Amino acid sequence: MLLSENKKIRKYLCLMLLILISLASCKKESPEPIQQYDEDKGIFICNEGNFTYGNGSLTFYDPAEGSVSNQVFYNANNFPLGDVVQSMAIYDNKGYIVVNNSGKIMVINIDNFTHIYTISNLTSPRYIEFISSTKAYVTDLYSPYITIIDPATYTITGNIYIGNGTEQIVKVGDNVYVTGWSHNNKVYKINCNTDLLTDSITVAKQPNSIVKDKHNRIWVLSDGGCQGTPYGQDTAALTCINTCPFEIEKKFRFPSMETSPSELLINLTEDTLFFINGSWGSGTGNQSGVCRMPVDAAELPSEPLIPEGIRLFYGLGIDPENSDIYVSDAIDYVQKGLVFRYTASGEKKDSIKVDIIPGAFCFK
Amino acid sequence: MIALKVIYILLFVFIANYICAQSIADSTFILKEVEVKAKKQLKEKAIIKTNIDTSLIQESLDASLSNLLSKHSPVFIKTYGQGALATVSFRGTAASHTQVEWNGMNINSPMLGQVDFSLIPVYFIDQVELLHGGSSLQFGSGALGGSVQVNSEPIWDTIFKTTFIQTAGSYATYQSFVKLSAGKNKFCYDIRLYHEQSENDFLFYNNATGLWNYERQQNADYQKNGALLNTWYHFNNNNSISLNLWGQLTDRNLPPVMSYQGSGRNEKQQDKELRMTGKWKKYGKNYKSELTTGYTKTSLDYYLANETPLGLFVNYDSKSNIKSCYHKYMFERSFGNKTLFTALLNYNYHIATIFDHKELTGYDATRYETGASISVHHGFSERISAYCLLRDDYVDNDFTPLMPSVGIEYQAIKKTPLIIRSNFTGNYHQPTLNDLYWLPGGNSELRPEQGYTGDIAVEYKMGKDSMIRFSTSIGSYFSHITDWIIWRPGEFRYWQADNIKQVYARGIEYSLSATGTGIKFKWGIHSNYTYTKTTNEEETLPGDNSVGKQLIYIPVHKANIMLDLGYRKFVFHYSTVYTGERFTTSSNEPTRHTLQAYILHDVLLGKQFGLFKNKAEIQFKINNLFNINYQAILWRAMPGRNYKILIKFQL
Repeated sequence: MLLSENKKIRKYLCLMLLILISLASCKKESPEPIQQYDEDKGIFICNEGNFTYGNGSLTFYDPAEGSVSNQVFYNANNFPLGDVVQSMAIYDNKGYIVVNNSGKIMVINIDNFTHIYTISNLTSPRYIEFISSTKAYVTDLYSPYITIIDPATYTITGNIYIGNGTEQIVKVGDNVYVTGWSHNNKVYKINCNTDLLTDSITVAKQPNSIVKDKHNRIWVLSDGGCQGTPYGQDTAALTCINTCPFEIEKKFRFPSMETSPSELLINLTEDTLFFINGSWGSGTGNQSGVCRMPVDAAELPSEPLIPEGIRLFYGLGIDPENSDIYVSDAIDYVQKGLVFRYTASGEKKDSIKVDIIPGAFCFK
Repeated sequence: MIALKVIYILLFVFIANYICAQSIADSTFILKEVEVKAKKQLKEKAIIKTNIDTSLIQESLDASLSNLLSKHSPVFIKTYGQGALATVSFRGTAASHTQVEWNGMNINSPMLGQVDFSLIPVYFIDQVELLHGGSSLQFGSGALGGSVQVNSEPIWDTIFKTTFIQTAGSYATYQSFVKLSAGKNKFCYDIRLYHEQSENDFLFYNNATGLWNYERQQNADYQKNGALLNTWYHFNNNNSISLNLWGQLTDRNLPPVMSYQGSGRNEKQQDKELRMTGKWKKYGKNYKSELTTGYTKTSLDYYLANETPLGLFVNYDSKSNIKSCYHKYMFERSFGNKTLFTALLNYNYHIATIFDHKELTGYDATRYETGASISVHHGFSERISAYCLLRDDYVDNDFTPLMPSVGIEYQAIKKTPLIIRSNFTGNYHQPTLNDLYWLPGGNSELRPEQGYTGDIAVEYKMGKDSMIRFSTSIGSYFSHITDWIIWRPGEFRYWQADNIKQVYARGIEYSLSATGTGIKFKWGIHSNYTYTKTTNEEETLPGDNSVGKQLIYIPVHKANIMLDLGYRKFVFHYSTVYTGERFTTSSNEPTRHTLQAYILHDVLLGKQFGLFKNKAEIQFKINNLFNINYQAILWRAMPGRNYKILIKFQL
């Protein structure tokens, strides 16, 4: 009796030990096989991920096939993109993914998503604009400089003093125009040949996005700031600026303080503007949604092309080929978000599930 | 200011009395506490609580309360690593749903609602008690998950005692502890000092950058300093007062997530706390009256600067100062041995100033909290007793609805120590000052969070006075919380607080403890297991997939087990903590960012010896024995196997 009890205990102890050892032995993950996708066309969706969670990711969507691949970077490379995937741009067949709170830009092969290089040691990068094969500008939220990088060598080659944090950037001829978004109301003009700040212009508070139209004018969308902050709030505005001479041509003020528009984009022919008109707080007004506005329009659109309804639209993308509209909903910001695809006239075509906080789009 | 003056006066009184007491002939004190013990027991009937064994506290003197609770209690601790922020989740609720009382005074931050358990050194406390769920209502409202009571205990011996502990561990971690204590006649005191510092620059395997290398943790060093004074004084058989003073200063650098490869940043936090509480207890023939008054002054400074070509560019420089006054009066009246009537009244006042010197935003806020409760405990027979409690709070000119609690305790089989307890409670948790006033996003229209909790537990205890003691308990609970406050983005970066969530929490708590003593040999096993299912119950957004899903960062399974052996002068402890899988998405969808379950093993070997007629002890510890690579929080590096040596002297 006692012997069998002892045996039982010994058996149990052996089992326990086995469990302990198996748990203790470290499991090494082997990289998954690299998948090949359609090399012609597709849309990259930057899923920001939660701030400080480090769970930003990249989604690839093929609209022809209707196929969605989430976590393509992680799956191809076996390590995560990083913390807050802010934006992406393609240059010379390579993808440049700006990872804001990781202070880096991940360069990838846009066909199989493999990691090529990490451009590190940035402060708080937001957007990248390519000037030439050896020069690109990177805006930065928490640095008073714009960083100059060389895409041929992936190295930081210099910087341009602005004095404030910078947000979106657009190139017109030999100059780039940059918005100073956070607690700022400036649009800066930088000469791409000399890498010097040459001029600036004051617009409505907090210009968050900028595009160039077919007349070589730039359009700047200001959200107006946030009520109660010392910087104060102003009504939001859409400003059209002539580049030569550098002066404001016209300014469209949004009617209500409640309005906070963002994500200004333009189609390929550069004649139609798109943006998200949102309102503060969870109470969304009738005017909320994706708006479309011809660059020669005399006033702001009276109603949205795609009403937001009870959703909260977050990111916007316009397909340069057919002006398809992609708009995202981050739902509760801690679950996989959704992206809706509409035709240029606002007809719903598709709805796809992507990853945490889909924010920016990049068209391949 | 007035509170400070009162403290000075009290302190003076103590010292004066102490000097006087020296000359008074020894007179034995029959502590009235013994007399009221029977009544106290009646008050604890039908309450579901966990007392952390004093021996476990004694074995963890160099740890923080977060380590102690993680290893030896059913609560889940969410920690950012050694020395760093550690918050608690009791029964799957939020960190602010656990109320912490130190010597009867609440120490939750009125600004954040929570307590950083890494800032409570076990060395500064003598007693830890967990009140599960609604069982906490008799001490105050707001503990939707439960409350943690930490107390200082007087030692009424006449010997002047000094204890030193010095530790040295991996990553240049050093701790020093000093305790002076004495108790004579009517007066008893102890002074405890504490210092801890660490470079905390452990090596970890970084699988988040594509470099696949071992890296040293950056910017995680910290320094903690604390001082504590506890005094107790008995005027006479019926009156006693106590005073507790606790000051602490903590400087911590905050490391970035593993994927960070930026230009460098300086992120840091400083916590300053001054807490004092005084208590006057008066015992009568059939009553007890207890007045507690306290004052706390806490500050939390947060700073973030990023490296730029021009030097550091400051992004946040936030300073918060909070002053709070706490007053509590409790009156207990017993009618025979069977009925106990209790009334509790409390009044708290908070002044908070929060300002960011970079963003130039902040808020000033004051809050008044008044609360009252009455309760009746009655023993119907030797085997059945019950209680009934009613509480109401009046906060910032608003009455909360009445909070009831009822409970019953039943000894199922005559003369068998098998006890069944059950209670049901309605409770409210007030929004924090940040929830109300933070700019931007604070919402002054918030309602308090409302919770209903039901509990049933069975406990079996055996061998109270024998060589082998055994106790086990199993309990089950459900809890329904509505108007749960969460911060969610409105549009464009600014998050807002709102009464959104409806949460259903239910689970099982199991504990087992067995100890044995022989002539030369001593053993013990202590273990806990919890099954926690906490789910979101309401779809508040279109396309929301979080309904019916486990809340983020709450493990469904958590277990710990500790084996404790002593042979002659040798001690050996082996402890294991299992933390189950945790989701980081509200929808629990499979992503590559689900946190895997892990088991950590710690081992300790110690020897006691005599040194110049004094007691001494040396201990050698290994933490994370199997060098497990794990993440407690998404992409936060954690140390592998590490070591510590401890030397203790008692004079």
